[in-house]
Amino acid sequence: MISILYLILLPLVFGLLISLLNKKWSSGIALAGAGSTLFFFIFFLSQFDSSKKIENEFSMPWIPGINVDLHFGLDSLGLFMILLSTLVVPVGILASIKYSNYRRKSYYVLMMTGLSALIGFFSAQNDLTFYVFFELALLPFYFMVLMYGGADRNRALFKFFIYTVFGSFLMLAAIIYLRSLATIGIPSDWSMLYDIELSLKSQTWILAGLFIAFAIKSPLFPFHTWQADLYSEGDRPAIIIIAAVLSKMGVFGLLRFFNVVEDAIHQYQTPLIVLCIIGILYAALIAWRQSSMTRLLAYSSLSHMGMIAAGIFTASLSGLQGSLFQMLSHGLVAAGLFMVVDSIMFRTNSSSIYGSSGIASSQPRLATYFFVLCLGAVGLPLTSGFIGEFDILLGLTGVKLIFALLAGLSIILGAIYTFRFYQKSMFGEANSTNSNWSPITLNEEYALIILSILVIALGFFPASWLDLADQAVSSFVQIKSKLQ
Amino acid sequence: MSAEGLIHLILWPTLLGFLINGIFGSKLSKSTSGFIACVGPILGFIATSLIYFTVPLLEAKNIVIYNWFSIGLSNPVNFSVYLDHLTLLMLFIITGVGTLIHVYSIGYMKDDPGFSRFFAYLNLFLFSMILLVTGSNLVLLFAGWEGVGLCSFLLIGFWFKNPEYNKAARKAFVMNRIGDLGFILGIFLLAIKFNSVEIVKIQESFGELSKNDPSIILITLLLFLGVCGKSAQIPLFTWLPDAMAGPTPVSALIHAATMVTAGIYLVARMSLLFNLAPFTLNVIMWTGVVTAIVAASIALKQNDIKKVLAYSTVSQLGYMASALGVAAYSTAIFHVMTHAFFKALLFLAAGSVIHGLHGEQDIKNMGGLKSKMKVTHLVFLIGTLAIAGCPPLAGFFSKDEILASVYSWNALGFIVLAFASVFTAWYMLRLYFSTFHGKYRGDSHTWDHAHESPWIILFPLIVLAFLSIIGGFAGMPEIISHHHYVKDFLKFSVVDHTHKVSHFFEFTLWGVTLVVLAIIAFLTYKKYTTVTKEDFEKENTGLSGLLWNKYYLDEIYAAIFTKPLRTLGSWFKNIFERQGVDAIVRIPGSIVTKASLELKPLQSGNISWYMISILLGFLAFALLFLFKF
Repeated sequence: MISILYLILLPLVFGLLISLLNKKWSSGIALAGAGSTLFFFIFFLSQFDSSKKIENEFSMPWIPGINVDLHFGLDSLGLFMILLSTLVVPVGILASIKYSNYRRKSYYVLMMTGLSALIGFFSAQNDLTFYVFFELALLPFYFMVLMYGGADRNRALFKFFIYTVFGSFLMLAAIIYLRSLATIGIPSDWSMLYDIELSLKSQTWILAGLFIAFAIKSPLFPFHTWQADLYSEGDRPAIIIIAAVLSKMGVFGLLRFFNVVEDAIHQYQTPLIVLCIIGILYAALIAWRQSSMTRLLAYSSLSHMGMIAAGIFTASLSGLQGSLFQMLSHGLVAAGLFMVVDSIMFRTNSSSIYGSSGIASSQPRLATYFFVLCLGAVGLPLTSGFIGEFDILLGLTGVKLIFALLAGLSIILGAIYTFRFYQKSMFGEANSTNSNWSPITLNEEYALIILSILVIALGFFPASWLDLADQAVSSFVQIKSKLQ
Repeated sequence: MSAEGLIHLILWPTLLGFLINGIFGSKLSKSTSGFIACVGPILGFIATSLIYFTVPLLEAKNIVIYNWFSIGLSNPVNFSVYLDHLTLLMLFIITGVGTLIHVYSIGYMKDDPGFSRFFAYLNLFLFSMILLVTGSNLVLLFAGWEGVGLCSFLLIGFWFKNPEYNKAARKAFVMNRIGDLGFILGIFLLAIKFNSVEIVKIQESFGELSKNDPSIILITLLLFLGVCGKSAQIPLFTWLPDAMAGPTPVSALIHAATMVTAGIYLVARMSLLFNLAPFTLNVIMWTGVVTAIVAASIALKQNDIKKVLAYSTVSQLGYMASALGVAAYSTAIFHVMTHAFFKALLFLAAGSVIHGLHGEQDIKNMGGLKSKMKVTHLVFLIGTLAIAGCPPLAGFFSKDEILASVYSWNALGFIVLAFASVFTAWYMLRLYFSTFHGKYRGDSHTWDHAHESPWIILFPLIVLAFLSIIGGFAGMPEIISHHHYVKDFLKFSVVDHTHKVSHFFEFTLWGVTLVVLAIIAFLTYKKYTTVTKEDFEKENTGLSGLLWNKYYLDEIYAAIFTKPLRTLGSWFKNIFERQGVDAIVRIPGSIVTKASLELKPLQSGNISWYMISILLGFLAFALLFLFKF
């Protein structure tokens, strides 16, 4: 069995190559690195035996003093997100190629480091490895934004940084507290952590700490105000990855720690779901009124993340399964939509949704990919977006019909703001500056084609992925669902 | 060929046609594009006929194509086809009328730069519509349901340079989605209650349920909300008149003959479920009755030829819904069928008029066209008589059956519907006379160039006119014939209540219908053959102003829903987000800010240095562990 460590190291080797070789090859090597990581991962995937809990494990003593291991492995939960990471990082690189003359080698080294850290994070098999990579994965993207972000990036980054530090502190405190309650030995992997017997009160404290940390990272309402600033000031290829993958780290954390705080989630299910629903509708209403594309996407993401979190808090099989699937789907859709926005802004230098109006006639292919991605975003059946939302709303119905009704309002509001966005930016009469656009490059087009096809393919054939999601959530969640 | 094989011939050619025209359309010639688009519906029609003639369907067939996904562990949601008489009848309407409208569109759209795009959308629509009527479970039905909504969106906004059209497209999609939310919540409740989403399985597990069980009432009401959206019932009908922004063949196919009847199909398909909820049936009947009269009254005062037909469609859908509401499901489907013939005919004939007048849609600029457009005039007259309920045309039998069924349940509902019939005859004859009779009122240039449409447009009109004449014979009432073909055909698919009316009532109804029709024909002939342009332009006040302004429903909805929500969204965005949320979370932020000021000198600001140290740190760690020191 090949160790997962090779997959984590592979991008770093390419990173090293980038730093050693000529700058003009940087983007190409980065693409090759991300591509071979994806290829290698698909190989892992084909070997993956879902009846086993963890495969391709790697474990090493790390901090001997407190007996903590560095522990990685592939399980059906992490698998989803590693797939997303290995799919989206190449998209980010493809988006960045048009800027590559203005990028230093270090940019692509960071890209590779980021990929490596993401795989490490999603394959972490104990809480401290998880924590360290939670922080590590952020740094490369932080620096990418710092180097190549927009004019106001420092303020945006500072806000983001403050939030993150605060969240990390709470998370570390929660983890230390959890470990301090372990009675039988020192927990070395997730299953041992799940076995720690906790009173409802201590679970509540741990949940509070973790929830805020993860709510900041995703973000979830009301911890989101760093997001729109960062998305509009960030380096856009980096933001593609942040919006698609890093935004899932928070909700992924909720799934990882689900068993630890399961009783507390049941106890506080109603307020948690209500908070998510407020966020879903609040963000959707703001997205409706945005005239900046990047901010619109930020709030649209916020709304979708609220839906994913709500699915987790239903603590039902369909809710959790839907959330996990939706994390993958929304990752692909968000990557694609940001890719489109990047292609538009590269040519118009304006983030206004009116800046590109009328280009559907001169850029029909861009308009088509954009439309397919919009369909995924509004959750049209037979696109990937439908399956996840369907399962989540079904889970919510199982809890209370009114929750499903309120959260379901987002499928109406989502249609309003998504199609408003699409029509204003693509349709109407073309203005003179838009008619002489440079056509989208092959690099952009490849990324958009792949994402569009995936959105449709996952909508038509989600079954095997849903089975995997089933295993992921049912293997570590003691379902108390009514629907089974 | 078996039904299993034939069903693929119905489903996939339209999807394939969409893909070919969608991907390679710009490289194909217009005739190739149009030909490819027509293959799908024609093959579908042939395959449907083959199934009809060769496959006995007294027992419904369930054909699983593949496993789509699963709910939980034990409930597979299959991509599977359900084939019974109801599905077959709907398939005949969809592929039959679909074929005619595809052929018509080749002529109608021939000068449009978006020709192949148009046919791609049209094929995608047919695929979704076929999915809707063949889906064996509610989720797949919902997929088709949303799919047709999407195509409707694409085709209403087909001429996407016009912001008004885009708005109409968005309005249609959003109002449909309001209904869809109800629909999908209904599906969830059914899935939880019956542990399945398969239509057959759900209907098999009713045994122990009593009538008017609260959960069944809730479920059926939620499903009916979906019907209101798709089939344009009050309060969700205002999108349909705006949907006329799309090209006229679209109005005929989607917004008259097929898509808007999907809601009627849904209720008929779930007839066993709805029979368990007499309360919901009552709601449906009254919604239908009110929709029929409200829309018919608005149509009295509209001057846009397509708008009149649009409100007429809403009104006719109201008739169908009221038939559903008295559990006369097969009667509703019968009217779906005859309406598909005569309303598609009327829309396409109106399209022929618009085509001949180079885009003119306002009847105040028409008049006297019968001399210029002989065939169009004749088929329009047939359509008008059919919808007005003139015996023995198609609309007469189906509408008569609806009126009789409603009468046997609720006399008041019958009276309102009867008034709506009077309105129907009035607005249709008004439309007919002011378009084709009297003096031409537009500018002389258009008149000189006004022409009859080419045969590719006229041929479908003639076929539809023929069907509008004979279509009603498929369902003649008991007093004429003991063989009601539609009812017999559907009796294994839907479970009707019996509706007995006396022969005396039937004869009286027919007699009154004829007399009233004659009076209306006389009055409208008098009035609208001598009408002048100024008469149309007169300020509408009082009641007619209310009708002219469509009861101000758009304005009322805007004031109650859209504007407050927009304002709220803007307030969230501009005020609350900054001064509310941000202010609260800034408190811990400001503490950290102070602390970090102390640490500031530690940041060297040299990014390459940071970057390299991260990379080296990573690598060192990794290598150490990989080679275990």
